[in-house]
Amino acid sequence: MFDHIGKNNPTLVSSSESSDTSNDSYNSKMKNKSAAGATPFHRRTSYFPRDDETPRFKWLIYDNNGSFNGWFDWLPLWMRVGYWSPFVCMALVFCYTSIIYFKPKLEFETSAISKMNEEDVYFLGMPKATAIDLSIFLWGLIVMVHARISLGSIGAFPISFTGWSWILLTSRAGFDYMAWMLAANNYTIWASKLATIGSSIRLVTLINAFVVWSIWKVRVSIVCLCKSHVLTKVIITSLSSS
Amino acid sequence: MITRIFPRNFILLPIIAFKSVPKGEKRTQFLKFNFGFFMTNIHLLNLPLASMNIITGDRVRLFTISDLWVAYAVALSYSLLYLFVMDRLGLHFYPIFNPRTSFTTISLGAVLGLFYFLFLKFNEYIIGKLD
Repeated sequence: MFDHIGKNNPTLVSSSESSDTSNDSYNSKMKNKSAAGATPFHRRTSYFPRDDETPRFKWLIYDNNGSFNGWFDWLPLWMRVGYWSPFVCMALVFCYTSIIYFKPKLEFETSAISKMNEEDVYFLGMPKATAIDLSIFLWGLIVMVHARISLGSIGAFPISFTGWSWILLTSRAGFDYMAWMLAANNYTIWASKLATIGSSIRLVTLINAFVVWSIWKVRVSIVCLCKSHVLTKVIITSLSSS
Repeated sequence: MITRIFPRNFILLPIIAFKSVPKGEKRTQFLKFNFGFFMTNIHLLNLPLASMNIITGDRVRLFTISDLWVAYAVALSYSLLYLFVMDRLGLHFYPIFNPRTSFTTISLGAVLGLFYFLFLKFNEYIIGKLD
């Protein structure tokens, strides 16, 4: 049944028998690092055996052993390439289906413009909340521009969860500020639309910020703990006592 | 709660960070990277900035089921990008969401649960502020 595996299939990792004689040092290095060891299932495109040897669709965009620029060589090979767990597939299908099926009637209070007449002028004709929104929006942009200039490339930023979190934070403030600005200039239709968008991403902005804020400290803690065995004991003692 | 959060985050963590990293170049690099302008902003100042006008300020409002739905929709949209684009490129930023291990179902469940938990807790906090 599995006779076709490894034959005429460039996406398959060669078996461990050829690892010592392989000229490709990168591939042999990868094999040594894999916790799973070489198995014929590493580069299978499907969980189920298929007799069709000519794949109609190439799953991997780059044949890079699942490690972009070698950045993820530290991960075992089986976590980088190969078929997905059927349980994860089912869970994902359940989640994607549920989000569509259980969609409520979306209603958001446009708080950025609903209390315009009740708010006191605080700065340049703006109420305090709008001034804060403008400050957050500009600060968010400044941080991104600064990162672009100082780090050279921030390609990973827009595709990371942290990046999404920061972009949401900046956008939420930007939408609320622009909504107020448009409403103040009598563009009520657009103001209402932007205020609704700004209002709709309030909770997700806050939750993402909380997750990033918490996880960053967990990450720093893990790095520190890995470097200090003595401190590990101290922290475990302090946590257990509290 | 504050009496526990404050010492752990703002006293204990910096001490651990200083003590655990060896003195010299490594410590300088570690601190420079983790506490630089960019990292401090996107990882530490993000929560206070996000809280403004959402759970503090004059325009506070309670979150509804619509807000929760948008939060889930954004999270699942990110999962589409992560699983169907980044995974195929070989970018594995978050191994706990690796689709090749069944344990990811637990991580997924935990994230969905955490979102709901935070939704309830933030509303509790806002009710306390409004009262």
